[in-house]
Amino acid sequence: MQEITTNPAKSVCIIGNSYVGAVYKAYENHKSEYPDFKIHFYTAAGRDFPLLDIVDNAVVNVKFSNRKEYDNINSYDAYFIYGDMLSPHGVIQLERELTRSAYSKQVIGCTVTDDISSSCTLKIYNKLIKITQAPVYLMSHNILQQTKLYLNNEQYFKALNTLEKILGDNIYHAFPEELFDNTFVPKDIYYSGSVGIDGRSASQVAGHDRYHMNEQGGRLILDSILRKVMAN
Amino acid sequence: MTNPYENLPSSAFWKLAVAQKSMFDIEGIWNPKFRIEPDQKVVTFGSCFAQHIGRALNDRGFSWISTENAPAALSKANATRFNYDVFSSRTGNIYTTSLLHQWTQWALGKTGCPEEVWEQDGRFYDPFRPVIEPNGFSSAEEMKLSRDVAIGAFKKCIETADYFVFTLGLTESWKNKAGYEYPMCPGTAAGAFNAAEHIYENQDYISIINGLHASIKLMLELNNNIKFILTVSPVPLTATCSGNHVVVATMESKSILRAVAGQAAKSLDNVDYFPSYELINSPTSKGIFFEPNQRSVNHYGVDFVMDQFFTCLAQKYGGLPTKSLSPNIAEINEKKSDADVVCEEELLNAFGGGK
Repeated sequence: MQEITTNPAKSVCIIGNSYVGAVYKAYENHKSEYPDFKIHFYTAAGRDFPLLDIVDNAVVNVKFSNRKEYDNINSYDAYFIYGDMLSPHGVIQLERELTRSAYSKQVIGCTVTDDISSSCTLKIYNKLIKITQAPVYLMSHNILQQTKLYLNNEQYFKALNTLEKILGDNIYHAFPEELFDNTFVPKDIYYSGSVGIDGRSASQVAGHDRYHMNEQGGRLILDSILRKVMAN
Repeated sequence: MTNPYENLPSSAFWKLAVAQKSMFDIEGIWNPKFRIEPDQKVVTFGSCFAQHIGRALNDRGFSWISTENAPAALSKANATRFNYDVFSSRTGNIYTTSLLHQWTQWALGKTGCPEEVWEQDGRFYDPFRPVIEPNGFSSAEEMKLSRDVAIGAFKKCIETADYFVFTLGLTESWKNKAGYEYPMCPGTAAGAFNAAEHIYENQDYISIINGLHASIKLMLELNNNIKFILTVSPVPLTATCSGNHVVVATMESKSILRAVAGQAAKSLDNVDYFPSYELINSPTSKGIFFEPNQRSVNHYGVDFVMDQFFTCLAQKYGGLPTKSLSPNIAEINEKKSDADVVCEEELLNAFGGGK
């Protein structure tokens, strides 16, 4: 792994859902290799993720964290909201609905935009940028792979492009090409034994689902995150 | 010597039933024919005012149904903007009984839907639902497909409903010389007016009641158990092409529609009439249920009308839910204001109303 150093130490906040598990595990098991970074994770997986919120300068409804207090959330040098950005779930549902009924392009476009706009990621992002001057980045989970499997919807990508135009540099694609094969499926060595996160700890709840990464995959993403921090 | 009035109930006398009471204490305004159970399916169509009935039914825990649903991820605001859940399917306003008959014929495959498409600036508009999509459709094919879905959903409403609520709105109508009818005059919301093709008709009592009877007869072919509840929209005309003053045209139009609805309810066992029109428009309400434009019905009026609807049902049949049962439905309704009511006819204001 490439050594990443900084001086003085940078504090990094990662807020997210089960996809954070691989990154957390990589950090916990290789912390000594990142002496110049202090990373706090605030997570809630699955259906708990939409409840995560920022209230009075604190993260609320956290299900797992490596920090005991959830306040002073404005004190970090960089923020990454990782997991559910541009959630494809509503769009996957739309794909199913389109097999049963016909909707106009306008309706499809508005549905995709509404789905993205109502995401928890954007809610947290909009609150964080009001309480901190530090950079706040939005990171999707392994959306390319899920998209490849379930979606073939030009409207979805149009909406993604629109959002990228609005948020600009605040969207960070943290997945190095190394993670994927040429069909956007993660290479076996990065997802086999993939890691999620539950209410107590990072654990192997994900197993073999091809969406979550294993510790090795998480480390590639962690390095990518820290390179972004260093670049600022 | 006695006379027939001596033993009548107080509701038969203006002095006892109205003049000596607060308008809010008026009772027994409706003697409902049918016991509507909360689990019985109700669909609503017609003029703008029908939208309030659907909402109120949901609000009180009744089973108002929509057979044409928006995508689950579409926001409620956008769903309303695209006319989902406004009526029980995306027909848009059905102002006349002849339009109702036209939709019913399409649903039963008795006639095909005309091929006419309105194109404007590269967008495509449905002549029979000109404002169903803001800015129209992206292609004629998309428009036709959407209309086919609406026709199918309308048919499903007829097939599955226990009660078909229809609000009669207008007597004035615009038809194509080929015989079919538009909900709005071409060239107002969309399309272009062509005097050689587009014909104005202020329908009379006979043609309106015939249109209603024909619609009912067709619907019974699909669903022999369906029952009908008619109302007359209390909302005055936005504009008239009759040559009369709009006040005179409104009173004439509403009087005819009221007579049609009353006659249908008297002559047919499976038809009832609910007097929302009287509750809003009679002298008892002193006009307080209208917004300052003296046209739009305010939410007090809507609440008053719907309270009477449910109170009369409960007084006759008892045991009916009276208030919102589901927090989700309450939430939906909280977000819907009167401004959300979709009324295409108001677009006519753009043509002379602002002069």
